[in-house]
Amino acid sequence: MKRMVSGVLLIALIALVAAVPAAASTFLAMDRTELVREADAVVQGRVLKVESFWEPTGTVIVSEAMVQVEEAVIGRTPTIVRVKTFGGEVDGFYVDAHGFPTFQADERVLLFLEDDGEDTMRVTGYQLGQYRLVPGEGGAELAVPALDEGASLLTADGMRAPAPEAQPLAELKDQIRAEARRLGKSTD
Amino acid sequence: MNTAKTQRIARFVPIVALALLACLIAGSVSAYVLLSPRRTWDSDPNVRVDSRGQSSIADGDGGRTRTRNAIVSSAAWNGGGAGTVVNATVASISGFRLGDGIPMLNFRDPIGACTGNCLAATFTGYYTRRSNGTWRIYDADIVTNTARNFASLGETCSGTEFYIEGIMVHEVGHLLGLGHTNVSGATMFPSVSACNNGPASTAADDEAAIRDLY
Repeated sequence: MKRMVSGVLLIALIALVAAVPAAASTFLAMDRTELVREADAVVQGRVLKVESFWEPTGTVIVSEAMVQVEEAVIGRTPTIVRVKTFGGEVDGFYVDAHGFPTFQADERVLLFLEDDGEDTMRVTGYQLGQYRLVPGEGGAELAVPALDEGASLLTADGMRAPAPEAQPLAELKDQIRAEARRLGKSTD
Repeated sequence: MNTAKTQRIARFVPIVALALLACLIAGSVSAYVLLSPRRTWDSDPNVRVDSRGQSSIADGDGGRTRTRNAIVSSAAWNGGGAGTVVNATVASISGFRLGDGIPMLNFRDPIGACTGNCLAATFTGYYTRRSNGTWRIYDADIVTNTARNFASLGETCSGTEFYIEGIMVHEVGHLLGLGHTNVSGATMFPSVSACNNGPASTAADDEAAIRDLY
């Protein structure tokens, strides 16, 4: 009986944890083809540091992540790129930009990037264009989608889009290069 | 079937039944979700709805009046059983700035945050931690992608448009401190079909959330 109660409690706990999401903005989903088409570059790299500050206009807090590029999967980039996103914390004032990419120093990432007209880049497709790299089984790295519950994703007809899944980094990069070739984009 | 096998199966029936019951209870308990950390306004926010309207809406005033009415409607947050929790006024949003303490619904995107595949983005600003560990929302603003097409109930909706009323009642839910729910059909469910204004009317799950917060 004790074992039965423990089992039930465990299942309830798993159900509770699995059912808890977090916050949001509303986005149309983009598939891999659209991400590759829209991106000026796709890079694998390490976040060196993240700084948050008020935009010069004083309208919103933005964050900039300095990313050391380990490999440009497609496109050409400097060895360090500055990636801008919205939200952050300045002097104890927090701005949550729900569903936007977030960065932490020292994390390794794969990013679909586009020029934003300044000397910074932004992540294509918001969180859809961001993967976090973590060790997988057997030493192979896994690319884990950064998508969290802050984003409402809609397909073109308004239905809930399926979330992308984690996959081996090497496989993901091969797929991105193949898609870029198919679209006639340079993989240099 | 032999007796031993029947007994083994019979032993598992209550376990499976209890496990299913536990999952159901867990699912219902955790349906609505509040933003983390928990945050609320000190007094009812008065959302300024952009008086310019949304350029793709052809109902005579760019959807501004219908959006304002949807936000304060008793079918939405103010009818959730917590009394009036949000006000809204059609007004100028010049001087748009996150951190000024004036919640605004901007039908454009002066900060360039919501482009490409973004339809609408909500920002919440909170910085005062109360003694009970919750946070005070000081400001929240919503911006809209002008490159996307919306419709209001005052016009015909095409198959690729989204009703501005439903989208903005959903976004105002975030502005008030709510996250997404897993209850399909609720305003705070994270998806909606094109031309479906269902989210403009809150469901029991949304109302439980707003009563929890306010």
